[in-house]
Amino acid sequence: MTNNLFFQRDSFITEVYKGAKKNKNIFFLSADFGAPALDQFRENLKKQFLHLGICEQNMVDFACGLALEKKKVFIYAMAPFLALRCLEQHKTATCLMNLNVCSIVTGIGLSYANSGPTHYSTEDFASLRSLPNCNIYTCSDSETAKMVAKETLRVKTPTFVRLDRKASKNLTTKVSKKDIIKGFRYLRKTKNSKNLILSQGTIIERPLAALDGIKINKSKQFDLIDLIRAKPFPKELKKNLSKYNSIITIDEQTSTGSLESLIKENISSKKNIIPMSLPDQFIFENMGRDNLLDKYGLSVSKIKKNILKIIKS
Amino acid sequence: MKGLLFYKKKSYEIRKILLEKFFLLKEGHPGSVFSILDVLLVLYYEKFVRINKNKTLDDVIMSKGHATVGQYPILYDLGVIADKDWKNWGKNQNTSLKMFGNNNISGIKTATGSLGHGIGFGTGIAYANQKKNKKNVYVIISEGELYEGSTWEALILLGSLKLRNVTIILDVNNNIILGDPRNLLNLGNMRKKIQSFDIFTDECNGHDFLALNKKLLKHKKINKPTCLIVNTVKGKGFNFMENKSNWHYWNPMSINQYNDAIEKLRIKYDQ
Repeated sequence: MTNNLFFQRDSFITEVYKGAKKNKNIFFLSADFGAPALDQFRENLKKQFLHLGICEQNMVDFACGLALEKKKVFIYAMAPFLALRCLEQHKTATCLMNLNVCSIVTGIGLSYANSGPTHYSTEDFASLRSLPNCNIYTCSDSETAKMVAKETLRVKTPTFVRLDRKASKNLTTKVSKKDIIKGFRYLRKTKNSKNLILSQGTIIERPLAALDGIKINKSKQFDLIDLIRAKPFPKELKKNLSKYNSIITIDEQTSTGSLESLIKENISSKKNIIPMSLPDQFIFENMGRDNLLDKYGLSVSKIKKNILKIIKS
Repeated sequence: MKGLLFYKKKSYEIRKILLEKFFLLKEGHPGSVFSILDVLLVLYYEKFVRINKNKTLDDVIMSKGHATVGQYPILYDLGVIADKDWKNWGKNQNTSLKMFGNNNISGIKTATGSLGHGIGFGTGIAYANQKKNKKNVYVIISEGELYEGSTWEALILLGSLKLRNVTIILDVNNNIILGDPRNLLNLGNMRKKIQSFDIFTDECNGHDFLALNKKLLKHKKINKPTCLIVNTVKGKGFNFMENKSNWHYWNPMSINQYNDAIEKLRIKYDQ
């Protein structure tokens, strides 16, 4: 923590550590990836921590072997490698065998903006959600990461938890246990609102800023939903979606298979959907995450424009 | 050890039953199944895999998943696979048995078929069962799996963890789908390579029941992971299939050819 900025990974791992202290059947595996919070785990729970080397594929298979023997296993690595590099391992092992393995997919979206496309993780959501039998959580702040960690200690099926790299402030709307269980939370909610912005991860700070920066007539208000669990898709959210006429989806992923697709799969009637995501291309510029997001279509001003477009329609 | 006559009889009976199933199913991987079958017979009937109340206490991870069906008739014979599952298999009736194994089948621990997963699975299972005699894990891989990078990742970890309850059985039949690997992409000295990961490695004839039993007993006593390279014949037992790469998969066969194959098998094992 620095100046009220919190790292999601530290919040998440701290909760897992607390759980592992009470339960010797919890194992934590790392593919040469660390975190300050992991140091106490490594130091104090030596028998429950294994460094697997830089080999994400074998880490998944090994974790599944442990899980077949009734262990609860957390595996930890950078998002592009733990999601895409071993996607087939997740299919054949984690998901097909429906095992108690939680993959901590760290550094989603353009978290590693200065490292370039090999380190971006802008396809992991589409890839992982194509796998049956899994839960997918995305954390928008460290408090959510902490609450999701508590939930992953409880569930016994394959789980992917998508964490951001950056330290950020907790959002002012505090997440509750109920939000985690139902899979989403409202960050803005107005009675009878017909307009919705739906997002996941820390990019949600941008629609929050956009909504705070526009004066909107009461009859045209927007709700804002933080999608915490995309899979299984929250039943209550599916029901709630029917009341909106216009939906803006905002996702720090490439367009294919991102939130836009997910929402379209979960609505029955025709809606006005404005998808906002990254373009279907590799990005090579090195100008920092915020500037890249601005340049590639996810700026606060672009979100405002889309909000105004709906208001005027 | 059970006598050679026992193994000769079992070897014949199970080959006959499996050919019948392949003939009914019109698909499968007979060449690979028959190359590893004699190893499976020793593992199960010599109780390297212990069975109690129809449950296996030790695990065979068939990493070369296309040969999993070789386990089915043995597990059925030993009471692990249910009558209904076995009898319905190949008759378009409800059964849990599949051409590739998965963890929903009695006695089959893992989903395999995609190559290169087995040693990783086996290492995880063995790590959780390190206590002496708690569980032994036999991971059967093919030489073709040595082309998969994840196999080598897993070997590094296995050797490093020094798990004494893991035995890799490497089936070398010198046939992959497109031919002899030595002429395609040579794997070099497999024994030397695996040994270099601090895994005790030796080899024997994979159809010699006495040698297999002796080696597996020896490996049980070694205080680190082991690998037994078994030199086998692809399609062993059927002259038309032996050492033929194209019998990796099932090939069309008339009823007369099938009857002829069964008769020749009987003669071969009667000798």
